Amino acid sequence: MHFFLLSYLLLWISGSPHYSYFPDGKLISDGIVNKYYVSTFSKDGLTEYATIEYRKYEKDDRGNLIEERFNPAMEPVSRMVQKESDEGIRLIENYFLFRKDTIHYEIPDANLIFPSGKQTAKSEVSFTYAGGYHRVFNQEASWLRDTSAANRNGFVLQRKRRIVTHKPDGVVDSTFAVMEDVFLEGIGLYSYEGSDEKNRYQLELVEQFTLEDFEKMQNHGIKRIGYIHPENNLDGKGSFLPCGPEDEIADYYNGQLNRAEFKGGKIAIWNFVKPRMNLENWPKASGYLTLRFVINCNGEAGRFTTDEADLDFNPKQFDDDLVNHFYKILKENKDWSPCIIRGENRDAYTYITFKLKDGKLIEILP
Amino acid sequence: MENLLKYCLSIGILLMLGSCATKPVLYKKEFSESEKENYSNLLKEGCGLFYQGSAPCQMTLYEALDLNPENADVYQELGAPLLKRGIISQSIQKYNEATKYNQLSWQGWRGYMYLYFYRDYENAIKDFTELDALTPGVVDYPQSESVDFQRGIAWLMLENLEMADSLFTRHIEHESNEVGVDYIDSRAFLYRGITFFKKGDYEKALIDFNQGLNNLPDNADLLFWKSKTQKALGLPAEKWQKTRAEAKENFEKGNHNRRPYVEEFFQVYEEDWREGRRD
Repeated sequence: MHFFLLSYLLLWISGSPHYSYFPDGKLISDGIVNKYYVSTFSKDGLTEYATIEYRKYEKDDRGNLIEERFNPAMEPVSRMVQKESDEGIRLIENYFLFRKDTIHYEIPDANLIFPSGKQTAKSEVSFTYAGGYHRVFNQEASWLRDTSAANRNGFVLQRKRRIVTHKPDGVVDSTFAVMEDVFLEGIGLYSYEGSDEKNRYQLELVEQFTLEDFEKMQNHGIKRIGYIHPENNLDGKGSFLPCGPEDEIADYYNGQLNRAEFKGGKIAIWNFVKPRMNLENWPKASGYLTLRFVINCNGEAGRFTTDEADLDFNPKQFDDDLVNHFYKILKENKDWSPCIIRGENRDAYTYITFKLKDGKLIEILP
Repeated sequence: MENLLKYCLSIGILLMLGSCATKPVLYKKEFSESEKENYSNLLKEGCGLFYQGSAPCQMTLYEALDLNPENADVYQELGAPLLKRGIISQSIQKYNEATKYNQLSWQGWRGYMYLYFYRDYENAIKDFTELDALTPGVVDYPQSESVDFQRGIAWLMLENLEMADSLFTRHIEHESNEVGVDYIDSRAFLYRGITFFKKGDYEKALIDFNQGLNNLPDNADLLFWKSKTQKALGLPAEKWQKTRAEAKENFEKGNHNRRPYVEEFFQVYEEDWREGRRD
């Protein structure tokens, strides 16, 4: 799904601004970032959604325009290098990021993605992905009419584009779209609208930022929900290691019924915890004491951390010794069930909640 | 002193002018209220392009909330990964906001959370009952399960067997009229059967377990409880032991109740088949 979407976005949303339509001088040299809302509406009316896309523009030492795109978390997605000539603007480099791969487009020298004056610019680019998946993009871009918006002059560029996709199973898909980009003086790409056989597409400029401000925004520090820092946890640095990369740690439920959990399920946890538990010192302890951790592909657990709430679900702090008591009990177990996704053992975040009421353990969740 | 003041003021003005001169004029769209509402909804859907709870998904949702701080669906979507990943200190708060702005859509879902994830039966019953009162004459199905069925479970877990019986019976009667008794989810008969069993009404329990097995043949949970009931009824040992053996055999084949994310109520485990464990 991502793969298709990404390549779609890259190409259908890639209206390429004429240099003269960019902010002048220092701003473009220092770098500027446009924030867009990019919307898709299926023609059957069943699906409609929007996403946020950031596009960073800056000129390099050779006068080429570098365009980089970022997802809503301001993480890089793709990069294009464009060169201006008398005939128009030529694409000289383009790649996008997919999982761990950087996928480069094959770009012939003779391509123009943006016309000079009222000519028509033609281009053909393609990329190949693992397993023989090959996609070819043909585009004709031409000046359509002058326009104005947001108190600025501009023009409409029409792009007619055909995408032909050769799949590994031999199936060939083809789609054709017509897009109309609006470029405004001092802004660059301001909006577009268009459609193919299945969807209608729309892009709208929301806000511009200096590159300096954008780079500050990128330091938002937001992690995926449930993230546990590899060192800042109850284990400390420890010897626990996930089998795969950090950003591929799944969630315990991703294996559906093959969850990352205590081997034997709930009844086995009770049998394990009960003889090891002594709550005499905490006769008033009440609330949800959750230990979150990672079970790696080998069934080893580590990176324990906590989430603590009272019985009304408000954040609270349990006595450190009580937390430590349950932590030590769980650490005693050395044989966990890893999450199995499509037959493959995976690292996964998981949790066990001890629901306490007046010093008694009344539930173990989930 | 006066000169110094003038000097400082001049410097200040120059600095201000200087900073004005270098500050670029950047575009920022002013959205109308309807545009904000529309984009908030579109972005909420756009979160689905990314893994639930990932940074891009969250930041899309935060944007949607900036545009419309009363968008209930956005709060729910922010709450879902907190719920699934055991972050109890934050999850209900999101569902509270969702319920505040759209009670009809989300109060029942919050009830489902209380019931299945947090085993908070009192709050679950309260949510289902309040939701039910909002829609007189209509049976609500939050998370695809009727409020009567889910309330029945909650009362059963609280050991209020009369209320459990009443709610399960209401559910079964309604479903019988809607889809026919043979197409009702077998868990309704499992749980009402367990309710009867706990009340000591073994004849009725057996009828329910048999109806459940009619709807879902070979289900280990139903066979397990059927064997217990046969034993409680004083049937010959070979009879209930045969049913128990069928239950075990089907359990080993995977024909038993489980659900994603959490434990099923009265879930049967491998350990249950150990000699005499639940006889």
